[in-house]
Amino acid sequence: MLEVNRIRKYYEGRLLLDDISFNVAETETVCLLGPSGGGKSTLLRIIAGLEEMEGGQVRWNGEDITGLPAHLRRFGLMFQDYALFPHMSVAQNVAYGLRMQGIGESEIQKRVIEALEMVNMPGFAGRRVTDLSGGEQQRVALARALVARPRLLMLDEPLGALDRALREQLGSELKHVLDHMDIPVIYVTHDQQEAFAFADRLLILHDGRIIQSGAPVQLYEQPESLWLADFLGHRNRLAGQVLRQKPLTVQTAAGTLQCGRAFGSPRTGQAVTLVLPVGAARLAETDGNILPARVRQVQFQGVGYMIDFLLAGESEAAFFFNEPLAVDAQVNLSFAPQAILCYA
Amino acid sequence: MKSERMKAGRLTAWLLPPAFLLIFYFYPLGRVLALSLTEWARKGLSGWNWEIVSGAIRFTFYQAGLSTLITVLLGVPAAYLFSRFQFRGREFLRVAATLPFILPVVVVAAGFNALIGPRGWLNLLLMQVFDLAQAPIAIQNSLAAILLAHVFYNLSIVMRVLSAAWEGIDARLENAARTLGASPARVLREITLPLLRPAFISAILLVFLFDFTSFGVILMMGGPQFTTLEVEIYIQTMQFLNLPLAGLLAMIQLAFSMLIIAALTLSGRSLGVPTMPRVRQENLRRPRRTWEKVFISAMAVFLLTLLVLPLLALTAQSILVPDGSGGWQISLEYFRRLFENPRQSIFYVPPITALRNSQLYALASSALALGLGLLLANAAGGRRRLSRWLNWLVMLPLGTSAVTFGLALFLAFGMSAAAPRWYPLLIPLAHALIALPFVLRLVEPALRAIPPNLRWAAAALGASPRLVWRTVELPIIRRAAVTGFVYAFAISLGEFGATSFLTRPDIPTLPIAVYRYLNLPGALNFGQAMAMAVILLAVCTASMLLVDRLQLTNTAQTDKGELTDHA
Repeated sequence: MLEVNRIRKYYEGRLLLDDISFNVAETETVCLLGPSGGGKSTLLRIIAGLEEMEGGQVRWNGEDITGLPAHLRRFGLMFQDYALFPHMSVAQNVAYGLRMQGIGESEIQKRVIEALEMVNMPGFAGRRVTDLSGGEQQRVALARALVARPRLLMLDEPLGALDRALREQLGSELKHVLDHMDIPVIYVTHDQQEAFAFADRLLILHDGRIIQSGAPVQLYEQPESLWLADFLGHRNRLAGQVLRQKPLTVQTAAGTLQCGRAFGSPRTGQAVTLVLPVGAARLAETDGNILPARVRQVQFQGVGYMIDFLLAGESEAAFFFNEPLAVDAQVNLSFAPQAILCYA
Repeated sequence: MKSERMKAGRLTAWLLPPAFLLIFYFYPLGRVLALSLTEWARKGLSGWNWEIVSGAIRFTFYQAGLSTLITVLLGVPAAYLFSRFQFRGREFLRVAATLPFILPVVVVAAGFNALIGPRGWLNLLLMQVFDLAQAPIAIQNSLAAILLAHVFYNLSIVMRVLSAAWEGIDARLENAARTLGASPARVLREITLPLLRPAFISAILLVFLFDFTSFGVILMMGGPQFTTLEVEIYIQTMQFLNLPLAGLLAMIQLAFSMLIIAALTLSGRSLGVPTMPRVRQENLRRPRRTWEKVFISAMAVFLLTLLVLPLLALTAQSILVPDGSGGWQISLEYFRRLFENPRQSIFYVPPITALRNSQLYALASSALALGLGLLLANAAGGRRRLSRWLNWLVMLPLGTSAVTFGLALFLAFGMSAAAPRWYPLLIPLAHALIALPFVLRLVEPALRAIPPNLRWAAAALGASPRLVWRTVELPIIRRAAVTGFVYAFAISLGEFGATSFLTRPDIPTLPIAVYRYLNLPGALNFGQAMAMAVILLAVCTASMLLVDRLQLTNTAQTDKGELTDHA
């Protein structure tokens, strides 16, 4: 099991990683999610032993491995853009880690072929890596990282360099491979959809700190800060004022709403921001936590409809529905109180 | 009617550069070839002095091989220093290391002369300390002096080519190998060195080419007893007027250079992988271990001693004048004397006019080189095959040594009765041809990099081809064009090899003047040579800083294009 303990790292005079601590359990997949340039890749390199840090510890099964050189850690790292050796064939690339372990030639050949089959690349062994497409390179990089049977696997934006169609296809292949492995995995990405799909547990890295961690559903439903709510895709916001504290009731220009989830202990009279998740709205005939709204635009998205509403007081919001609504239709949107997030 | 004229204009633009090359490059070379061939037909195989030929070939290969070996051995640690470490003074050292690239050979000769020559600081110091009557160090006119100057020149090439490649190696490749269990030694052996191999081969060939075609260094540092092919061509032409033999030597020289260039071109293609780092200098780090700090300090001292000390010594010699009582005083005496015309001078004009001549020549030749370069690049117009062919065409002048150039132009245009009046025109022509490859390699990629839809957009908005050129293309490539102009200017200003064939005694260029003054006896002549060399040094340094500011020389894409002239 991996333990990361109070890691601090400066980059060009700026504190890039500030007191980062977390654990990764035996067969767990942890996603490090955060905006680009936030030090996620640096953190991976520190764990791999490729980069020095200003403070902190990396432990493996209780043993301090902070000073252990990278090549003795047996931590697999799959790089963004894959870092395949351009002067070696596909097979030589995949075999590299096995050769380093001093494994016999016939065993190496057997395992390289197995690994290439696992990533659906049989028959590519003799090819030059410079002739491969992006998706093929990704698969070779995965095979190269896995064939050496690392104790821990780290993936740095493994789907980042692929176009959308390939992303979906290779993403599900990758998930299949990762689900069938019994080693801890750290998966770095800046894409929340990808993180939701892969993670057993999410760590949100922002401004050099882990600001929140938990299961994907929990983070999506209860982001503890407005920044995180925004980062996870909650775009509907209403400014308001607290009318009552119990039950928490907020008055906005669009209407008065009761909220189930409050962050930062709002007091009566205080100005607050409400966040309405896109899936939170229902059509209501009658009363109960209702906002009157007019349909402005309907976008068909395949599995359903994203509908833009004009609310009272000139504010706007978009919600997801399974059925379309007529443009300019006047409706009442009702919300379950526990779906509404309130930030002081 | 209008389109007729446009067509004619475009045709002229197309034909002008090839016509220029035909008249001023291929025709003169043809004359050299024809001369040796007719002589060959008359005399046969036995009529030549083969001893001279084989001796020159042997010594050329010997000194070039030895120089290359030493340069590469010293260049590898220097390249490692610049591609891996971040340290104080790195930027200064980097600029100092690129300076020799553009320095005229006479400045280098004067610099080493000022440091270790018979009147050099080192000898003066030793004579003072040990009370000697004669200079104890006699490195002048020895093979060691030649090697030293070649290392001074070409170290920066090895450093540039290697450190660009080294810096360009994606750190993730090395990191990937380490996470797969490779020890640092294995990473070096199995990842880094194989990836560096093409750069290694390029650097070696490039340095060998420059050492092979070196002329001024051999002439000025080696003295009369060392004759390479180049020097022999010069001697046979200028001293014995044995033009057929000079022509034969030039042909042999050209053949060898072409072989080296062909190898260079082939080696440049061998590994086409994207190895530029995402973030520049991401592979740089500060030294941590003791050996790293010792290494950096030692390299810094070595580089400063080799690259900066001669130039400092030169500057000091130009402003320190003996005060008559055994001491020295700071004075601009030598500079002041440049404006006078003493009777004993071999010139009938004050030496400072050489500076004016050089500047005029340099302006003319850089304008010519830039004009031709723009026309050529425009004619290629982004067409891949044409531009590759074009590259070969102008690579030919690059492979031709300056001395061969000088000889060819001398033979073609310098022999007629009216010739002396031609001479001042021939020099800018020769310089422009020598600078053309450099200009083209800056301008052509810049022009090719402009996306075609910019031109289409301008045309769709109503711009004629001429207007597209003036309002879109030219402004975009302006930086490259200015850089090319400055390069050509500096090359012309310091050119020695071709000029030495074409110069007229009463219209000397600055390098020629320095060379003559260095060979004259007397402290005043020596001091004036130093003063003129300092002026050259200042102008060239300023040019280089300007180019560096323009930030075009510094990228990997042009590093192979930065071949400079040493002859």
